[in-house]
Amino acid sequence: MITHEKEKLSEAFPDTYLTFQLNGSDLGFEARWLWEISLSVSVSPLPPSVPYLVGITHLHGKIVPVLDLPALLGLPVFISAPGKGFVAVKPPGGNAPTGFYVDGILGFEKFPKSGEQPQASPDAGLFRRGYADIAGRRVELLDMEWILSSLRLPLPAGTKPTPDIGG
Amino acid sequence: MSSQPIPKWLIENLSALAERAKAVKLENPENLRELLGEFEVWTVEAKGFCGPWVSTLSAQARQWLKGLEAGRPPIQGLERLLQGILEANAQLKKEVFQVKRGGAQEGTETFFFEAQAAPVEGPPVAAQEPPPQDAAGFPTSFVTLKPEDREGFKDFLQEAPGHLSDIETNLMGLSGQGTWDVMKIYRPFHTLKSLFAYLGFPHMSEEAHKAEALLEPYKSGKGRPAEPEREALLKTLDLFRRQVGLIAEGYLRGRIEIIPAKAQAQSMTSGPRPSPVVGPDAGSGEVREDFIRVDTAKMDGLLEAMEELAICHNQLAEAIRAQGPHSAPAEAVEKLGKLTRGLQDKILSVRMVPVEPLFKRLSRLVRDLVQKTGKTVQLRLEGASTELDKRLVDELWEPLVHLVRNAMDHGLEPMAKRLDAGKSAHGTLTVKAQHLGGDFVLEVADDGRGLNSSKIAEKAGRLGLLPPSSASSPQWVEDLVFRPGFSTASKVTDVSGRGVGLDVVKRRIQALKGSIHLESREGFGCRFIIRIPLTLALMEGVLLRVGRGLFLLPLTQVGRFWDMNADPGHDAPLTGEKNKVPPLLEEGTPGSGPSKSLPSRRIDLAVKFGESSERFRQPVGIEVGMGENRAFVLADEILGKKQVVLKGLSGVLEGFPSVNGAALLSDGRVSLVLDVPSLLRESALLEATG
Repeated sequence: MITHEKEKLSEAFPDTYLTFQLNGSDLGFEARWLWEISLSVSVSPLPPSVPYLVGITHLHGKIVPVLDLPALLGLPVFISAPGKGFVAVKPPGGNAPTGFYVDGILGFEKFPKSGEQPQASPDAGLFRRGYADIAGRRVELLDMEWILSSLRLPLPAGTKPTPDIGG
Repeated sequence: MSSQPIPKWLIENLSALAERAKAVKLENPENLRELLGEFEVWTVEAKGFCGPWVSTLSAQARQWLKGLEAGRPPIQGLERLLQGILEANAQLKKEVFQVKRGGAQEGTETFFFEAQAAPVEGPPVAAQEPPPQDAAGFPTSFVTLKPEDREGFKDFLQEAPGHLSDIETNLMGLSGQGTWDVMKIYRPFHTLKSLFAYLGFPHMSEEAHKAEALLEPYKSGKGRPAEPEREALLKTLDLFRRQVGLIAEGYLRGRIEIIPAKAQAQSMTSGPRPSPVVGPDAGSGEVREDFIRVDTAKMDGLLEAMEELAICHNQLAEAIRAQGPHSAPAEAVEKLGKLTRGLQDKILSVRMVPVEPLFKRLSRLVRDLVQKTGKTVQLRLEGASTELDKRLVDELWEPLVHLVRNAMDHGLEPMAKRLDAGKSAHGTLTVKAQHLGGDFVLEVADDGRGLNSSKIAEKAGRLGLLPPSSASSPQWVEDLVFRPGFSTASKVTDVSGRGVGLDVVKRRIQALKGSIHLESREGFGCRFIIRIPLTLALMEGVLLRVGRGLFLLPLTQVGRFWDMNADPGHDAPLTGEKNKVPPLLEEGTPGSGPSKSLPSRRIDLAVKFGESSERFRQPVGIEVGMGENRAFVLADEILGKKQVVLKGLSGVLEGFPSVNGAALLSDGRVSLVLDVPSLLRESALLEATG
């Protein structure tokens, strides 16, 4: 289990991003949102609620909701082995972690904000704030603040969950 | 006249005074004045415990002091008084011996509170003497410690230095440019305000209030107190330090000096702060004991870490068990399991404290109520050493006050009525704490008039609340008494008081995951029985599987289980009771008949998780709730009774209605913990009953 405290990371590694693979895409987000990376956690399923909430787990005594990130981001569905890593994020200074599976951790990348390219169009994908070219790879950068602030429960019975894109 | 045992401290104080009386120098009036002043205080305190000789001696001491003030030679009458002190000491020892021979019941403390001729109005305060003047010309006064107050002062002396230190640390941090949290200063001032008020230091409480008012504008998070304001707060801090020091100093003597009001009023004014703190340092008195104040958040963190360790152990044990029961690792893991459980018990025990302080506060409350109601009462306190989670002890105070007030106001009859009924002249109020079946059980009983069932039924009839059958059952009466507004709406004096606010008491107890029941016999009294878990850190519940999800229902809110697939008329095997199984109910549709009229709904829908596409077999029905507020919830499987640590939810999970938290299970899985009252309310299950 590798643990990184976000405060230390944001202080020691400004402009640092965690990059990972998920359903064939390379994704990343600012490391200051990172709470923990685990190789595996045991997730307890919840009764059907919303498609992007697959269950709950616990880390360091805290109950952590587990997101189905591909469903949330609208990534193409891949039939593959379960994720090889688990990432927990938490708002800087906040106390409410949220986690999701990833297919693999690519590593930490450092580049200035100016290295971020804006999205080509607003329809390029929900919860992305742009992309960066890193070593010839296109890494889509997630807007973690947008993601975490958009999660709402419960949805009225019978409605299909739609992320609150209005922020 | 007293059946109250003479406390040890009273005997020790008199023994010390007698020793000093032997060695007193007659030519030194100040020496004598001090000795007899203390003796007079002693006699006042001893009055409630000892025979009538105390009053005689007290009058002699007072007369001698008056004579001294009038310029009479100190030697006059002194010899007789000093001899009186020595005789008093001998008499006291004799009385103690008699009480011991009488064999007071172990763990039981009995207080006898006699009503004054006329009821006293106004808030309870510690007895204070007329204020003399100190050397600086400020009027000084003293608080005389009553036996029942001692525990409160002792707690205060343990707690106050920490609050003072918190204030100082955070006030000092204000001078820098770093971050500051106003609440870290505001909260300890607020706590000290309450503590001072409770202990009978209203002016100190007022000063704390002024400090709060000064900090109020900064609670929004904007700005920080300027230097003059910081100075004013530090002056208040110094004042409190000095008063706490005086309390520590006076605690053992039974007489505590109050800092003059004029000096107190100067604390929040501008101007330089007098440098060194005058008076003894806070907490430096002889009562100081070795305590470490630990933040409850740290304790919770320790418990959480412990819990994860236990889960890891269980998973490891499971993996090793698969290799064979007698392998070397299996033995080591078994030993590790024992150590883990032992450590867990020790961590939990740190949170446990005796309910004794609660009882001491109670005796003070009863003393005040006796003065207000004019009723003479014997208060029996049993099981003061019974331990309970500190937070629960604090939370129990208000419900307990409510029950005791009710018993004093409405349960116990006036003396004349008691005598007419062939009862003893004084009423008896018994408060008993004990551990029973893994729970903490508190009983509040009085030997008063009891509930008047016919008047309750009459009132219920007028309100259209008809009993389920022709005869009103004790359960129906109990439900009515705890019904919100039942007594408020009633003007029947004999019974109305028994219900005023009892719904609030019930809600408070339920919030502590507990239950309250009532036993009453008309003409003989009432007994309220409160049952709560020993700690809020742990809770017991029934684990259920619904589809793929796990839910835990608190054990206190679960009734019977029903096999919903069994044929009507078959016995339900789930509880081991001979319960008739009701026909399978359609969701949300009440059936017919008393036991079949409860509405039902599958748990995941009741919690409003959304629509499920999963097939649901509904093999088990669980009766939840209490009294009239009952319903069925449906689940796939009962996985057993579990003791778990309740954890709060945060973030997106906070959106689940009716979910009180989550629990880690021993195998590492996580279950949602449901709050039954809100589940019934939110899911409209109660509305479905019509």
